[in-house]
Amino acid sequence: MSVRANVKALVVHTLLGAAVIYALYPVLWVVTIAFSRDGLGTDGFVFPWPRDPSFMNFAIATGISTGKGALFLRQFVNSLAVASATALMSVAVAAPAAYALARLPFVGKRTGLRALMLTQMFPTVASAVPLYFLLSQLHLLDRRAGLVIAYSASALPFAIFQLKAAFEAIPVELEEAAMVDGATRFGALVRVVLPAARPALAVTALFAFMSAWNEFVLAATLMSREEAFTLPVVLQRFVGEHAAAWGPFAAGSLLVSIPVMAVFYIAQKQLLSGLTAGSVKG
Amino acid sequence: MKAQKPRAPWKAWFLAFSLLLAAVGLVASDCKAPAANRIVLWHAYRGAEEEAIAQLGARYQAETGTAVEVLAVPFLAYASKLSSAIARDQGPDVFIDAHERLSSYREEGLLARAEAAFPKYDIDRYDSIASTVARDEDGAAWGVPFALKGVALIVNTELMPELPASVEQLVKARNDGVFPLAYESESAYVHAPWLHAFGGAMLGPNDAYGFTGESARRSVAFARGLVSSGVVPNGADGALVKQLFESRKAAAIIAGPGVVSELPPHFPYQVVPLPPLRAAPSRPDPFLTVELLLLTPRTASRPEVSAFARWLASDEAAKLRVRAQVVANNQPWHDDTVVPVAMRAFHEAALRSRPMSTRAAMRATWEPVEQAIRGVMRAAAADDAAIDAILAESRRRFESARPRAVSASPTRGLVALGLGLLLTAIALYRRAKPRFWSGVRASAGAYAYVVYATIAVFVLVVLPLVAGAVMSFFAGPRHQMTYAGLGNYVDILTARGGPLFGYGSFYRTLLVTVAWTIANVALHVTIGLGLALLLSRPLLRAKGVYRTLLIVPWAVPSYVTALAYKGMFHQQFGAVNAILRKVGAEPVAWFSHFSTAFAANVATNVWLGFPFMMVVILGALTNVPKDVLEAADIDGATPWQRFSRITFPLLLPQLVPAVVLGAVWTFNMFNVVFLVSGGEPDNQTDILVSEAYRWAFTRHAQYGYAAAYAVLIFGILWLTSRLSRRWQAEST
Amino acid sequence: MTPSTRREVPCCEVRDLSKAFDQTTVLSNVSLSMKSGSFTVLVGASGCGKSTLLRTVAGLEPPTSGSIWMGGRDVTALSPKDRDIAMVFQSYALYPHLSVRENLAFGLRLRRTPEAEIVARVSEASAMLGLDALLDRLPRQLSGGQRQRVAMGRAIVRRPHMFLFDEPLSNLDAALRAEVRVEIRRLHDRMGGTTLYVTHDQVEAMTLADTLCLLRGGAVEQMGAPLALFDRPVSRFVAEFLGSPKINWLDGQVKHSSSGLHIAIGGKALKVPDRYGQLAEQPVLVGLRPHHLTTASDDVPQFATMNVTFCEALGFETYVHGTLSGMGDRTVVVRVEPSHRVTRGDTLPIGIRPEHTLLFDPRSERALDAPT
Ligand SMILES: Nc1ncnc2c1ncn2[C@@H]1O[C@H](COP(=O)(O)OP(=O)(O)OP(=O)(O)O)[C@@H](O)[C@H]1O
Ligand SMILES: [Mg+2]
Repeated sequence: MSVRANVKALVVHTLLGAAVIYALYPVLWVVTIAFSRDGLGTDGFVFPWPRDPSFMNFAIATGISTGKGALFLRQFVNSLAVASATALMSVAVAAPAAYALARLPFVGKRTGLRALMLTQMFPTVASAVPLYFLLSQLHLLDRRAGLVIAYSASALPFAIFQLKAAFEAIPVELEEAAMVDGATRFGALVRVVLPAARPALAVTALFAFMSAWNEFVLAATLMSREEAFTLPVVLQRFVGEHAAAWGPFAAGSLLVSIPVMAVFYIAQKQLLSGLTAGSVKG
Repeated sequence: MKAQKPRAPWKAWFLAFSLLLAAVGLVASDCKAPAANRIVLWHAYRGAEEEAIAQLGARYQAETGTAVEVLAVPFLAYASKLSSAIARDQGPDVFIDAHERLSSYREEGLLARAEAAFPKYDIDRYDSIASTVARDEDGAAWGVPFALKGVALIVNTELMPELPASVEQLVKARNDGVFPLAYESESAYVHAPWLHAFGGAMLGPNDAYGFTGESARRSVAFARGLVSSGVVPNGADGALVKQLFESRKAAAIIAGPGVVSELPPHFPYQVVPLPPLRAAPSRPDPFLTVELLLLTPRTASRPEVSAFARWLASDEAAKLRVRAQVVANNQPWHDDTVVPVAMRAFHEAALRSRPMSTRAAMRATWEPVEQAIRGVMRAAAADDAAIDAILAESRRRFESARPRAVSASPTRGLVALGLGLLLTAIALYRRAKPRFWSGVRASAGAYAYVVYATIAVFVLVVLPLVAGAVMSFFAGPRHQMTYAGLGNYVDILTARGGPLFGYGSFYRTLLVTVAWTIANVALHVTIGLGLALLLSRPLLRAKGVYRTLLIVPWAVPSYVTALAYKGMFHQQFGAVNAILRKVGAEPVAWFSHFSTAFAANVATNVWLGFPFMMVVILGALTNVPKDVLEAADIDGATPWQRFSRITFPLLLPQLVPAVVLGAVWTFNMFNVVFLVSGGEPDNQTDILVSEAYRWAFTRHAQYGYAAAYAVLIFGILWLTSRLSRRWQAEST
Repeated sequence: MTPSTRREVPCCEVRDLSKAFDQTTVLSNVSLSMKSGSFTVLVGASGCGKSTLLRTVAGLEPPTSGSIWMGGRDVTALSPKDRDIAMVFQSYALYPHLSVRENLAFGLRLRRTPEAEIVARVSEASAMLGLDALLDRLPRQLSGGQRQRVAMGRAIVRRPHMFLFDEPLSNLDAALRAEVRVEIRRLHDRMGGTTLYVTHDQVEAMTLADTLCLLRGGAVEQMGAPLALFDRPVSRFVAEFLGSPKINWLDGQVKHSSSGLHIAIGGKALKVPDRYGQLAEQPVLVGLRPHHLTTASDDVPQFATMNVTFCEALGFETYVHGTLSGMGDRTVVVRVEPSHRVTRGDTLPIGIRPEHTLLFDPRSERALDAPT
């Protein structure tokens, strides 16, 4: 490698290193709180580090210290199930819609797209109560399916926009080839377009997963059994009217974020590798 | 380049499919059906109290065979969950809540009479204040007295071996590096004792605003003195107060029993009622909250529920609860063997406390009072005139937030609605030329693709929004809304009679919101794009590690990180100021000025949001064909030209929806503003949505008003998008 | 069905097909008939609607009016998958997520062909196209020519009634193109399917086609055997489109004289070929292909004198560019034997083989012998 390339690499790593520090510094505070027996220090020190490291807060957050470890596990499974199902469902519903918006001409397309954007503009200040009413009418209260449906619906608009843009970037000949090869239009979507749009699908799914994984207001309102709670609800239990148990809260938050990061680390190659290269001339 | 091994697509499909199956299975296999005749109890307790209640429930179930289900609900969701659930008959049979909310629950029809659970002859078993607040003017019981909540002085007996006889004495006991006293100096609830000592009350008769005049002025001047002389730490919140006490940096604190129960074992402390304030005419009595067992309407025909509630509040059960809370019963306090010393002190303190008003207006005083306190704390000079000006301003805010008797005849609204529908129908009819219908028929195939998404979005997103929007034409609390026509809108758009660009006015808040949105989106996109470009360099090492570390801000729940940010910006103890001090700069009082508080909010939100943008752009970058870039290289493009002429234009189609949606979301992103600056100073950093939330949840629960804000926000965004579309169309 | 029985049935017919995108008409009243086993080539200028016609036949675009028949059935409303066709796209359209092997097998899998048969057909096709070493690669790991062959292979394994090609060779270098061109024709003859092939390379068009169909602005200008189009173009457009170098034009006038009909060009008289029969006295556009002009010799008397401006020596023949003195200032190209050494500024005596003269009406630009 030439000196120039070395210098360049150095600059890139420095920039990325700075970004990593920016990204991690506040989280180190959370880590410190999570590992401190007596909460956060008050010295106003610059480098966060637990002075008396202990796993006590983790034991409290996971309910191990109160003998509710099994319940926590169940709630973890709830979260995982709800978030994965939300990811799958929102992608499954958004993909055909996005495909139609990207490729098929139909009456009301522009209006529909605009209306979809409009739904995102309305703040949800006053819509929680009607939503509760609706889901109770549908007998979906206290059920994970209810949460999945509500989360998926709210993740849909973004998913549709994202996938529509991704589908438009895929050469139309690919589907046509599949259709000539004997696929129906829907078959071409499933067998050719979706695999070719895998990065976008993954990003969309990740987004839906994250929004469900961290949501708590709706979950706390809709779920009325402890076994049905998701992790954010459990975490939020550490916040009271006048004071909060920050130690367990921070510990729980870290635990909650570990699976997400693990999924991202493992899946990122899939998430972020170009696929359409080589499909058409060039 | 690396040679790619052939992939086995079935592997990926199998994985995806089994994941799908697992998820569907888990979702479908919901919890087992609950026992038929069970009793459901909801509460928002934590820690020792939660355990005590759980044990009592289990014990009752064991003794009587009645199934008891106890649910601990997060406090933040408690009130809204209760009112939604009980109204739909999905809620608990019994729940525990503070007496302040009793009257509004009653008005909403969420309660059943508790006569059987709290018969007349039980009255003397409970603390007399508790008995009183549990019954209405006619003596009918609406709840069962359960526990008392209030603050007391908790003293570190090592740092302060001698219990202070007065606040003045307490304040004088100065040690190096130790605050004599710590309390939430900017909380109205904890400030109340000073106000009471100087003869004031937060809420006067007829819902009059009480934080004015001599008593209020003297109380805030006193509190300001405590802080400015370094006796009391500046701007501490509950967590920090607890922190200071635990790390022995505060000799005494004003706090509730929660702090005590979480102290490490063998911590040297003692609890006493607040000592007298010699400078003031009265005692510094804190607020008292009585927690009640409340029965919901569906229990009216279920005597077993009343029996359970009565047992839960009985002396027998109280003996078990008394370790965890200040029970409202009299009898256990006579039995020294069961009562922990600290609880006894809290009980004594509670007996001297002043029950909080049950008026809905009470909750609406917090915001203006706290603003006034903060204002005085931060004012450069605090002579009487300055304080009075601040108090007058806070009073004006309270008054202007007061619900107004707006009522309008619905006729005009109905006529307008009818006309609107008619015009829409005509417009649709006109558009519906034969070609339109043949077009619709030809689109049938495409509709099959969008039908599920359309139904889902319409039912679960649009309908609730429309229902919410309809509320904007109504005024008053949720259970007795009256039709107000455009009253709410007129109010908002005229800034409720105040100056049009005054703090908290619609227009000023709009400007802040626009600045907030622009700042955030610009930084999100710049940082996200920059990092994505760096990360997509083909020869970069450790890419995966970088990417994963950089999404950490997205992965950690934002609630906790936003609060970590708030802590980092604390003037005295925050890391940011610590860094500033290290490099020799002056520390900044971040939340005292608009610009710095705004910057703190933006810093937090940018931090929270850039990973998302980065991931979206990384995904979009994969669609930029390599050969085009190579062609550009050959054409002699510089890296910048390559980016600006090729990469960026090719990214744009996928970037635009993310940026537009990002902008819309940021426009409506209230929780960062809530959690970090909390609107400080003086609501100046509030954006439109956080303002809307305040109307819905703190200012007299005026949902209609909040809904009108929401509709206006929607209108602004809609208009902006229309204008930008037109502008775009013209420019191309 | 075996190839031999297919040969009997008329395979594909396009009847009165029109196609418009929004308001712009791209195809108008196109009719084509392709016999089973025939090789039809569509040519035309860029943007004239070749791809659109092909895509409409494939069922990828619904026609605005008209119908498409295959094997005696009206397939206008059928989706592409039900038409038993295979198509090679202008841009190849390989499935980016599938290996070459899976790309080839894709269509067969969709049709639930037994696995053994899939393996057999894929290996047959890959052997035929020399893809054996590439079977496990992804499309992005292939060169342009290799991608092209995979695209062909994908069509071949299907053994459909009909092959559709959309300029499949436009990405290849000249040598490879010539090679694959021959390959395609051989494959066609071997497979026995009916082929509709789009190109704008006239060498491809002339060498591959049984039937050549020239499109102009969305309508069929002329259709027939390639040589028929070349020798008897119905319009100036066709005459100009085919042939390289292009046909030469001279302005003339039909004259009656005692010796019969002749064309007066710049004071010289040119005999009208017999097939024109009787013509009125009128101005005409005279078309003369470069190889129908030659240096004057004993067989071919001098007709005009050429002022040479430019000379292309290709080795096996030489094209001389110049103007004919006294016959207007149109540039004329003449093919001469390579043994002639001509340079700029020379004058060259030119003779004409009159039996090949093409006559067009200068206003309608139709051939004077064209059926009306
Ligand atoms: N989807 C479409 N919408 C509108 N116009 C179109 C569409 N597709 C093609 N056209 C127009 O129809 C005309 C014919 O296009 P077509 O692709 O058939 O040309 P072509 O003969 O294949 O050209 P080339 O040789 O360059 O490939 C062109 O003018 C083109 O601009
Ligand atoms: Mg074409």
